[in-house]
Amino acid sequence: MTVVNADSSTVVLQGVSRWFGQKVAVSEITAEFGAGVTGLLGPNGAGKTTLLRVLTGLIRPSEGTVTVFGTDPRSDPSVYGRIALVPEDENVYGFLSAAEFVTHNARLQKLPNPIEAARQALETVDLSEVADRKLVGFSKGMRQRAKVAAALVHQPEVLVLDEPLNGTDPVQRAHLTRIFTDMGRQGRTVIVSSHVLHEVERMADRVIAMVDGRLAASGTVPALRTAMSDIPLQIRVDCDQPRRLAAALVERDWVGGINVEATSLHIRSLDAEQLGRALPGLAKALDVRITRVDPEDESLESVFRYLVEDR
Amino acid sequence: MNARLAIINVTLRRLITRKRIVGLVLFASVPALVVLFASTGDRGSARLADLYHDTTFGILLAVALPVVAIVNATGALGDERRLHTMPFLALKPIPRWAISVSTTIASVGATLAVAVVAVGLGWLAAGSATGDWGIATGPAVGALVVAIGYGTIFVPIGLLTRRATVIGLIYLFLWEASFANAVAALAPTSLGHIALSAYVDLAPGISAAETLGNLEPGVGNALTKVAVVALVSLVFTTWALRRRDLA
Repeated sequence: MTVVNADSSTVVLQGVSRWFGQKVAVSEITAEFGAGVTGLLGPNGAGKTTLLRVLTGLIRPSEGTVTVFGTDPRSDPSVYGRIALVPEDENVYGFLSAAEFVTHNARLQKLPNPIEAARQALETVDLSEVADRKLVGFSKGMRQRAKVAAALVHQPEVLVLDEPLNGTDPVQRAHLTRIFTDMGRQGRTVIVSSHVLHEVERMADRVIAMVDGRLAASGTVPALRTAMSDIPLQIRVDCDQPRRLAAALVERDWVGGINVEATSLHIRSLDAEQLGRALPGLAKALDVRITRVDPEDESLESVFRYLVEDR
Repeated sequence: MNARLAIINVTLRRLITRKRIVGLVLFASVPALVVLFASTGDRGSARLADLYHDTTFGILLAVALPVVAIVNATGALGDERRLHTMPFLALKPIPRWAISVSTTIASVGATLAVAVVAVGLGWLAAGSATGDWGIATGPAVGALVVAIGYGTIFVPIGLLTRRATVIGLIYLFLWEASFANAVAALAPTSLGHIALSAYVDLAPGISAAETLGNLEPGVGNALTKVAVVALVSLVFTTWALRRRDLA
């Protein structure tokens, strides 16, 4: 699958594959990234981190080429003055304070005033008040923000974020999301990976979905949602009269099948939303007491696998 | 502070942690403690000088300092990879050779910091016991050779494999302590023997001279050899940073 995401591409992957021994982590990915936020979506183990590492030059592709601003970052490190990676790994230099850590990154970026640049970056991620505290004592969310500050310190044109919202609380998540979307609006290329659809939905204009190292789908978030709407979902409904409820549901055209057990139903539905809307009314009309409704296979993994099989 | 100094600074701070430095200094100070303990007894200056040289070479330069250097060198870049902090170093607009040189300087520097304390304590103990304050010249140059030799060659190995420290210890105890000691022709391949050749040149007549194998005593030769080792290591490290996976 080839994905072209932008009129003016800053990052271009051409037939990129990467394998580790017998294991194929990334397979034949061709994609281009440009201004705006692009979400890289996929379940754990889909190859997102490997792809981002290849993209930034941290590891080599086994096949294919990567160019950032027209150059291979592994052969021309000067391009790192224009890009930044926020890695997924939690580790940072714990013996440094947040200010020292970000200033260190500013120095390695050869900025004229690294201390001031670090101060501004820490302010952006709301860490100014704890700037002098050692990173070893930081929570996971605070470390994430320190890593983001280190990445933002030289105001990169391309920002690559690997699961940047891991460990952050809702307030921090909203704050970071706003930073990334603002950068996208400014015309910077922001590539953000996540295994959580609604996270990506809030940030990204475009989405690339990966499963088993391959590109499974791409497009705008609404388009991806539409693609997902065709996937039959299995919903479990616990109630006191499952046979009665099943008899009423089986007539509906959005119900693909029903398994009835002693105290529950397992409904395969093409339209989970409609099922959700219909259930309360049916329960009331039939005098059925529903105690639980749960999706059984609504994980991204099953959704993406469906998309891959369907291609 | 420029980028290279910043790398040296952070690498040194990572290598020289308080716990680590206390442990390594204690380990490396054994010869000084032995001489200090021996000097309380009824021994002559000549015997104390022999004891000082035997323990300094046999323990400090042949075992303790190489172990310290291997730990520092394999950690200089290896820890960045092992602890997943490599993006904060490698994904920067800095030539790979500059990263290579800076981390290697930090590795050698961290080992020299331990060497200065260990040799200094030995010098104080032996100097005061024998009255010969020039007694530590050989050990000081030998320590410099050890710090540069081991402190550079194991930097790229640390980057390439997670088992670099084990490889270093196998090299030290199997190759240097066994093979290079037993076969005279192998002595020139041993960093420990190269360090000994410098040591013996500055402290002639010490018993360790018998284990030089095919090497001739000579400070100049020893320093030239470790300079070549350092250069080869820097080229190898730069190559590894350019061509190998960094995560």
